[in-house]
Amino acid sequence: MGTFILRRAVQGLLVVLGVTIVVFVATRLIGDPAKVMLPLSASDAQRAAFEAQFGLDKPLGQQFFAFLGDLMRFDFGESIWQRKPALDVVLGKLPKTLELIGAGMFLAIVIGIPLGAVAAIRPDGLFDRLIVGLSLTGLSIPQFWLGLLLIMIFAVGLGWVPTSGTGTLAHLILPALTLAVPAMARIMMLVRSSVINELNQQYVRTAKARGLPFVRVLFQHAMRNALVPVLTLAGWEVISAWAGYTVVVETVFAWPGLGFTAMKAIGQSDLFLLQAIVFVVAVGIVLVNILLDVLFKLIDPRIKDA
Amino acid sequence: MNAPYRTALRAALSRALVSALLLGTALPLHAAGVTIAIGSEPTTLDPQQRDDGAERAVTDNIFETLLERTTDGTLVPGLAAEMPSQIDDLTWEFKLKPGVTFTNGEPFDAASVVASVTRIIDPAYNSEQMAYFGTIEGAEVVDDLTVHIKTSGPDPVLPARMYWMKMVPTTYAADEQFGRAPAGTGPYMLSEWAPGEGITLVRNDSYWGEAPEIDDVTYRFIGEAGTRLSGLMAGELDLIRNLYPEFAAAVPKAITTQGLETSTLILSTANPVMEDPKVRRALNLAIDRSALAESLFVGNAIPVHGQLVNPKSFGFNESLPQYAYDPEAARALIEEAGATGKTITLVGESGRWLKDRELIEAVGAYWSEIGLDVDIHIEEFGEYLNQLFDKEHRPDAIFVTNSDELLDADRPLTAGLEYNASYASNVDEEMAAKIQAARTETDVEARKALYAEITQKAFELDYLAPLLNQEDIYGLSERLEWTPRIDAKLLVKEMSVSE
Repeated sequence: MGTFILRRAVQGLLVVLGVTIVVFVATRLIGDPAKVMLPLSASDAQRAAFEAQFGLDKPLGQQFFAFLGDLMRFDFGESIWQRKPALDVVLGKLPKTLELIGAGMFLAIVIGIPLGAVAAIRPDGLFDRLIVGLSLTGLSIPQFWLGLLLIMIFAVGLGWVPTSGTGTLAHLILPALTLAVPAMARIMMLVRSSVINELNQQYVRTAKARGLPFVRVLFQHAMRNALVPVLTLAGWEVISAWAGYTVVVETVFAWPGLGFTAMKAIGQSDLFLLQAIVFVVAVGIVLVNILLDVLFKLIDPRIKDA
Repeated sequence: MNAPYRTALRAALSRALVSALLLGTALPLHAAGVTIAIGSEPTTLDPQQRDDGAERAVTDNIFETLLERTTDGTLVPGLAAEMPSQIDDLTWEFKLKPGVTFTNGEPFDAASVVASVTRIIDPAYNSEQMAYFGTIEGAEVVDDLTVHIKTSGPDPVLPARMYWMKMVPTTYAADEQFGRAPAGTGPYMLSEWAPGEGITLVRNDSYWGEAPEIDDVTYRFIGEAGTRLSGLMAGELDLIRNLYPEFAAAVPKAITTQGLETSTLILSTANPVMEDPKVRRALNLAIDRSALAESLFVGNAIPVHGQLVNPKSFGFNESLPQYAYDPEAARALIEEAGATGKTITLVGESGRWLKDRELIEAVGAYWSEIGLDVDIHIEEFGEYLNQLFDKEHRPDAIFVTNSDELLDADRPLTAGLEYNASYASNVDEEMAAKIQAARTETDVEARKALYAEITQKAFELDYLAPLLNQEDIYGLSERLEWTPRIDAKLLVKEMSVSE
């Protein structure tokens, strides 16, 4: 297990390095912070002075080697927009995004798995049709629209929770729910089809024939086997939330996390901040992947080291 | 659902109901606090560093300037005791109000003016606001309450510039903490800044001027227009800005005022097809500006008076009419010029300014109707800026919205009309020389005359196709009383709440 994790970690490191280099090149190609950040009526000379201050006037090759050197020391330079070390900005915003993803994924899993399993008991029954219908709705609703709809109903109409912002548990409910809905829908569908598949297996019939209570067959046998694909999906949901889905939710709910910051950084062409964000996100994805691999091995020891 | 749960739920609901009722009746007791939404969290409250409207919304209440403007834009003394006088071509003298202090105890005097000026023009400080202060060379103390500000050339705009430059305390401004815990001379001072959540200011009880009515103000950071709107509808907010015209009916109170922004198309005068003045005249005649104002802005915009200059700005040419709408004449001109069926490129962006994409597409449609083949390019903002500032390849027409913060013709005309200066698309060196001359002409009447000549010529030769002076639209809670300002500042000292 130790060498397995180590090998995954080394592979992950290479991925992070590769992604960071791609981002360096991409950000240099698309944006020009001096044009974006200074008033449109600033003179060319003022723009040049602004660039020089951040070392953006140097040849690209020189910038790149300086960037690699700094990277070794986890120095991503100073955010042009925030005027403080880029990595500090990212790490400062991180807890809020983790809070949102944690709450959203928790909702998706604790609601999605049982409902999917129950729907599978009687495929095409009334409850199943209801669940499938809800899932399809959840998958089809654009998240920003869902967010605004929830705000209109529960914050403006009923006044149960605040419309936006952060600070209390009440602030967390709507954004977490908005983030959870598509993930919840996918998890429900997958649990449903996996469990239906397992319930048709020979061993389930044998277990039932031996007189085991159905609930035990469902949750102890069928669900355990259905768990690997569900876990894969849950991991993917965390990664996709982490890598971008929070941007929409954070924007709609004025949630001061990484997604909102990433969008501002792109809007402001803040190259240094973008590099730091992508680095931290890439590290997160690699970590989640390693964690999933380890979990798979624990659940099903037959899985080979790839 | 079993009985205990149902009871608990009912209890929770009634608690919510009761607290809502209590909150409703409790408001008058705390009537003197307001909550304002701004589009993003300021990165600093140092008022000299960034060019950021969200930061200004807060610091406009903490810091003050030597000159200020009345609600309709007239310059009047602020921290200065009187309007400045010009000692010689390069020197302006300001007399200061006595007895003013910063909230950290430092006095406001000639030394703090010099410190403020020196700080903001220091290249190492790299202020994003240098575009407003490029002509300022330095300042010197004459006596405690008299200061001289020096410019590199004669600068008639200097008073307007000093309306933009916020005064900071001599010693404390150099402190690391200044941007997080600012100290100004203004009517409010920082009480709390909870990162990501909000900024709260409280009344500065030792303020030199008239004591404001509102005790405290909280700013919340909400980037999404729909979310701001719901916050106002739910009663969490008292004031939101940049309200979409369509939503004006949904809020408790919507008020508008003439804004600083003017949308325009910069026309090339050198490209094939575009070099013919008849074509450019036709482009202007083809656009129904009143229809744009009505349909896109629900009437909250005014068709321009033949120029890019804001009607409230110095240099506005009152003799220019609104553009006529005459598609028949436009089509005839295009035919006369032999341009029927020719392609012209229209470059723009989306999402930076209110209804930008809609305006660009509508203009494209008007131009197609007079027989031109219009090639619309909506670019990503970074790429759009590259094309806007590209001196070698000027698009046939490029959309831009000009914001005239200093309420003076110099900046809009330099940007939109001065050849080789910024994003002008004409090649008129004579006009460029006139714009430069006006920039340093200190005789008010002579300067006005120069701007009249410049705007007249640009109108006659159709160097631009200015569209609309946009109005600023604010959404207010029922209880907030406030008159919006031409300069779009959110001055809490001018607000009150009725109950």
